[in-house]
Amino acid sequence: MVTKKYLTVGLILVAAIAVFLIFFVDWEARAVKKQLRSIAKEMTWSPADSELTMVARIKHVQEKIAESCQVEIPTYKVSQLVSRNDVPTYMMMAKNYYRNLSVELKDLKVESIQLPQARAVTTAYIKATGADGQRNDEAMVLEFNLQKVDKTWQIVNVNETQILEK
Amino acid sequence: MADSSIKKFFFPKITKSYLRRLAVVAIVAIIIFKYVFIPFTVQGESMAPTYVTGSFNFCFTARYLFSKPAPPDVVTVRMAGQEVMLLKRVVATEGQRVEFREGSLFVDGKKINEPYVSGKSDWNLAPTTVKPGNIYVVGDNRSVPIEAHTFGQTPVTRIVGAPLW
Repeated sequence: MVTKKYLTVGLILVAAIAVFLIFFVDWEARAVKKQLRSIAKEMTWSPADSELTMVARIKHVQEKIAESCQVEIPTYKVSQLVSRNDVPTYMMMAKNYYRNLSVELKDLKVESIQLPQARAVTTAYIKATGADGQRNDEAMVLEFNLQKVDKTWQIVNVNETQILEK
Repeated sequence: MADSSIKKFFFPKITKSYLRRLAVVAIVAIIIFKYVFIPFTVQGESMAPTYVTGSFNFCFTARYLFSKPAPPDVVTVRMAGQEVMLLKRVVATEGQRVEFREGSLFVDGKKINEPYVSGKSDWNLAPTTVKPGNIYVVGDNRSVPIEAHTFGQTPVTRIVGAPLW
C-alpha cells in the first residue's frame, strides 16, 4: 500500500518534470547559447597552448560559422565578409598579436528565434595581453545572427552595437 | 550565560519559525542586492583617479527614480545587461554642445572646471550636440589618448544608476 503511494507520487513528479521540460524550456534558445558560449571558449588561448591545440580550436571555430560571415566591429573599423576558409589566417594573426586572450559572454540573451534563424545579444568581455605584454581589455555589445543548418546553429552575422557615440 | 547566548546565536535551534525568518532574510537580500544595490568591482582605469581598478562599490539603481542624471554625476551605463556596466561621468545633457580643446572640456562654448580630472590631456574633439533623450558621458582619466578612451552620448534609458560612494 505504502509502496503504491510512493510510486504514484514519484510518477506524478516525473510527469511534472517532463511537462516542465517540454513546455517551459526553450531548447532552441539553449542550443544557440551553447553554440555561442562554445565559440567564446575556443577564442581563448595562452602561450602554453601547443600548435595542435590551436589547430583544434581553429577547426571548432570553422564549424560554428557559416560559409561566409559578415563582421561589423566599428570600434576597430572592421567591416568585412569573412569566409570560413579565412578563419585559420585571422586566428593565427590574432594569436601572434595577443599572447593571452580570453572571451567571456555576459548577459547572453536570445532575442528572437524564427526557425531557421535566431538573433542573440551579449556583452563580450575580452581580456587580452598583447605580444608586448600590454593589457588590452575590452567590453563590447555584440549582436549575433545565426542560421540553423543541418541541426547546427551557425553564425552568419556579427554586429557591434555602439553604446557610446562620440 | 554569555556562552550559551553565543552558542544559541551561531547554532540556533532549527524550528519552523527560524526557517521562515531565514527564508525572508534570504529573499530580501536577493532582491536588495540584485535590483537596488548591485555590487560591482571597477575594472580599468577610465575613471582614475576617482575610481581605480579593483575598488568595490554598489550601483544604487533608485538614484534616478525622481530626477535625471546631470553633470557632474557619476553613472553606470548598461551594456547588453547589468553584468558588465560602464562607469562614466555625465558632462552634458540633451541639447548641449560638447567639445574638447587642448584637453579642456567646453559645454555650450563655456570652459568647464573639472577638479576630478588629473593628469595632462591633449584631447581635441569637434563640437557635438547631445541628441534629445541622450546624455554625454566621459571618464575622468583624460591622460590616455582620445582614441583609446570610450566616451560619448548614450540614451538616458541606458543609465542603471549611480555608485553609492
